Amino acid sequence: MKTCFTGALLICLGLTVQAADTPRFAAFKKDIYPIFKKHCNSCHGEEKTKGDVDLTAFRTDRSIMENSSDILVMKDVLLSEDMPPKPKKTGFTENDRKTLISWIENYIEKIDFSDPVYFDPGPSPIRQLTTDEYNRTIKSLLNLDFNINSEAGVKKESNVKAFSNLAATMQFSPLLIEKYFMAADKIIAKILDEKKGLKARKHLFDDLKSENDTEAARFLNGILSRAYRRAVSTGEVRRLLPMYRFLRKEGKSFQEALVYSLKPILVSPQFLQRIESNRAPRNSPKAYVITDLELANRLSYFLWSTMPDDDLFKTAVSKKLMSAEEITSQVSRMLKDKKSEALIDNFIGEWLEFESVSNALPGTRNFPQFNRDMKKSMINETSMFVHEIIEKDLSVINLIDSDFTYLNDKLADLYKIPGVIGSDMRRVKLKPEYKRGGLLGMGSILAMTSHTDRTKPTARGKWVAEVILGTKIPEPPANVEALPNDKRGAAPTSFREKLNQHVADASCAVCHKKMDPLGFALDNFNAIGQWREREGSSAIDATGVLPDGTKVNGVTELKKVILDRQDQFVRNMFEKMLSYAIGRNVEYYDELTIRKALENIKKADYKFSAMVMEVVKSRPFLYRKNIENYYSVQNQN
Amino acid sequence: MKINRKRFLQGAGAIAALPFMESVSTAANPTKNGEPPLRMGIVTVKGGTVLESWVPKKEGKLDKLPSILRSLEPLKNDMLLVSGLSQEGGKGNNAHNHCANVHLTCDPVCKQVNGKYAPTISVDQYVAERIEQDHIYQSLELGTSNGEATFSFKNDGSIVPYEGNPRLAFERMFKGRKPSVPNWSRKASAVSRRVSKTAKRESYDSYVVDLVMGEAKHLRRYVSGSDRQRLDQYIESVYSIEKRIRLFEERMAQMAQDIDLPGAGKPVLSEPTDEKYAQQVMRHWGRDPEMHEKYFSLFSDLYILAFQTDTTRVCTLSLGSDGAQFPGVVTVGYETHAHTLEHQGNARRVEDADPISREGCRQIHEWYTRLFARMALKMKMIDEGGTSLLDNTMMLYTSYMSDGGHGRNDYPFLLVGNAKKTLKTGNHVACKPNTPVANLYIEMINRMGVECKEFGNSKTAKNARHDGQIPGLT
Repeated sequence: MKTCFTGALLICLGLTVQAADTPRFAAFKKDIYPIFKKHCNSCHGEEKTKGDVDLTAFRTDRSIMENSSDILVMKDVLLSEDMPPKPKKTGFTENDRKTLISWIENYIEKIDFSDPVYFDPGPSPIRQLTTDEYNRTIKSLLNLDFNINSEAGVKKESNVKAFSNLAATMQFSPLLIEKYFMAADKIIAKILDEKKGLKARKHLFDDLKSENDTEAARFLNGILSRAYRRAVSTGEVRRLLPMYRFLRKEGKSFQEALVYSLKPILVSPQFLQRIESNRAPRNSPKAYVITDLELANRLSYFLWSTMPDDDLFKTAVSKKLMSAEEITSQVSRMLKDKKSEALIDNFIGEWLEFESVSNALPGTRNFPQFNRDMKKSMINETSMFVHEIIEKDLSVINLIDSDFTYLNDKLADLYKIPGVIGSDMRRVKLKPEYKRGGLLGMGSILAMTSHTDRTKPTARGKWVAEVILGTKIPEPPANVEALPNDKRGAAPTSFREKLNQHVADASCAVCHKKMDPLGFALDNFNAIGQWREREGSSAIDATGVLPDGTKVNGVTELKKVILDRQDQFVRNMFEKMLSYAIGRNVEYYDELTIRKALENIKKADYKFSAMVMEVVKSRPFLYRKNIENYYSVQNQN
Repeated sequence: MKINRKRFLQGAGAIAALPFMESVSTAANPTKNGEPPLRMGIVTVKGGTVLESWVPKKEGKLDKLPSILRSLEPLKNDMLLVSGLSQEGGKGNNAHNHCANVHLTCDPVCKQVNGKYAPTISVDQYVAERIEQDHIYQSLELGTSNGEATFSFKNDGSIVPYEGNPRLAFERMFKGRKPSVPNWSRKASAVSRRVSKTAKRESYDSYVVDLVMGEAKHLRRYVSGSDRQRLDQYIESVYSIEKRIRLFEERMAQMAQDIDLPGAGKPVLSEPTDEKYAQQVMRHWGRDPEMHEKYFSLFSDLYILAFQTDTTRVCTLSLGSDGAQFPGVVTVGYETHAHTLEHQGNARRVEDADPISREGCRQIHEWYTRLFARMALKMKMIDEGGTSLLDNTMMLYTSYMSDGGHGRNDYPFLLVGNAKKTLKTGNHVACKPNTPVANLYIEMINRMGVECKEFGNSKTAKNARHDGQIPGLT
């Protein structure tokens, strides 16, 4: 009896769910789901989730949108006929293929943007300062040069596949906290050091009027408010006074006691994290505009990787920041400020995976020219090039192809570009026959994707696919092993033939078809980026076929192929910038934000500042919503 | 503000199960009888090994050692080789991540939380949290472990980072004191004399700790989810700092006596490494084997010092990198990049691998083992009053992969030191193939005086056997 009842209940529930299906989800269940079930699910959901794709997760209209990046990958592998791997065996017809492809195109194109989910700013969790932000914040707060990476041994966050400032990837470990304590001790010692601390002491104590407890409280109020990047209550300052008095009693001078009082501030969770407050009513899921001060902090850490300066702070305190004109004028002021170099170091650097240049595998044993100076020049070339794009507010398309770069004599010599004399880096106008221009002609990018003695077409292709075009390439499976010798035929005679074995093996092909051709197109550049027509006795073969059938031969054609997909590149760059600014991955519900932004960026001729403006005026940047059980943290005391 | 520990624990529900609240075993607490304590050390290098040059052909008493182990000849009677142990494969992990995640944890699942791996607790942390806490650091983690290769994890899956800067490692260990060797017999009486804990003193450090602790606990009331978890991590971390400050204050007098009347043996180091030298070594070791060797020996000295001065009783040292280059160490072929050699030198069947690359891998591991042998010999030379430091240590030498091809079958495991005569050294114990690695870890945990019936996949592995034990170790 009981089982019967449960069964009936389950049927009821099933029906209710069905009743709630949107028309397009009902269509999915009717036409698409059976194809998945028959041909795809055994590898992608039921028993295995190969390539991290789980098709059984498609349970509602929204869950399909949540997995929309998987759907786009699916479209690629259907077009390239890589999936399903054995269509004949399961009876997968051309008609099935067409049905799936047109379903995907429709689904992605015709999103119902009236769904409130597309106005969701997403979560705004607390963000911990990255080590780089910490260093820059210490500089702004105390006018002191301090490097927590080398002076306290805190590792720079790894930024594999994501920006190091993503909130979700940060955590406090006992060692890290211990290091913050150590860093604070070292900072205090440095400030008190007669020579090294001169500038800092001037910055901190120049406007001290007297040496009494009232003045100490005034000092602590100022430093606490700047360190916590908000207004602080008298109660918060009062808590610090007993320690200050203890230090005085122990015989510390007035200034010494104040410097030692910095320690609890510098290791405080409110200094080490950027905390935004929730708004009443606390359980409301509604999004609301952030406060002026929160905006000041978001802007400042986005563009400068440090705390707001006095101008920004004052504008925010007087509640004048939250207007389109004020934001625009602050952003253009901030981009002109030298502090915006942080955007190149952090956003551009991490996006382009630029840290790998200094660890590039080619060495002087195989390439005598590729010494430390050369590496430095290559790094400078890329950062000065990007610097000009930001400073002169050029189109971001320059990153793909451009008629200028920055060189010195040695680098120009390597590139075989005449007329550059002297070791200073300077702007050089490029001609098409140099085959340079844009990131893909730069030694930095080419060397960091090479092996000790040869090029790595797969690594180069992966870089182009992921970093430039934003294509998702999954990790190789755990059981992958070195390329086997082809047991059926003759042993491969070239590296290219050997790599082609990937394309012959179905489990490798899906990804390698996307990467290898892009990399082979760059094969005229050797492991350190020198142009070559031959390698040993054979001519370089820079041809390849992309998964959609496009043929590409050499770097010039590759750039053309990318320029034909300009929108894909710009979308990818915008998504990366947005993710960097808001500290979380871009999600499906950001789609409306992205589409609106892309239209405006296109109208503004892809100017760098236009992209930045679209980020700072976007919904996730200007809005937030309450996190469950969480309300104002500023009610302290 | 006064920290009330009881109230703090009630509030911090998520971390209420703090390790120090668990029953602490005293079996391996020999400080009471005047003997040095038993320490547990792990030394792990990257890149697996080359099995045919590592495993002796015969079981039982060690005879002529295979080529990779040959430099350990003088220590033959102090070591116990265990072969045949394996980890199980996981699902959906990148190969290097997977090998690293199971290495010291034997985690059967390797789940991800918020896109991050959250493995089960690692053997070093398991032991560190459960033994008597009379040393300054619950555990120390030294050397290079980062990126795809992180080995030590807490109960909640959070990563325990490794200190990769030898100078800073020294500064951390000996902040405000000089390295001194404890006089174990006097210490035993000191322990018995210490009836009640000293009252908390007013000090700068305690002001700082109280201030930030109060702030963090206040904040904690207003946050939830991962934000709260992070604050809990913060609170726990500050708590361990506070605990260390108090322990340190309590031990001040004792340490002063140790400096006047030290125990047997001199500390292997008394000053931190020169800063410039440390920087130079750190910058170049990945490319230059000479620097790599220096890096190894700087850290092995710190490791020895940590045990010798009773700064910790559990220490893990991870060295090398799959990305390192070995010109001069590898003298065959033209390739010297470890990762390339590892891939080309391994295949599902050994005969399919490139023999020159395989020889290169062998040379690298012979070299690593030579450096390890030097370190173990140094420990054997250190007198702790009748017994050597090596006798009072159970040291495991291994790698996070079994071979360079991300292998997880038949790991290289070498125990050095007889763990206070609880290991039958001078032997090769060949386990039945695919016996879980977890069995070995349970044996180690038990020898540290901590009761443990199940660790990682010891019960759930496909080849779970011997009730989580390894026959023939004693």
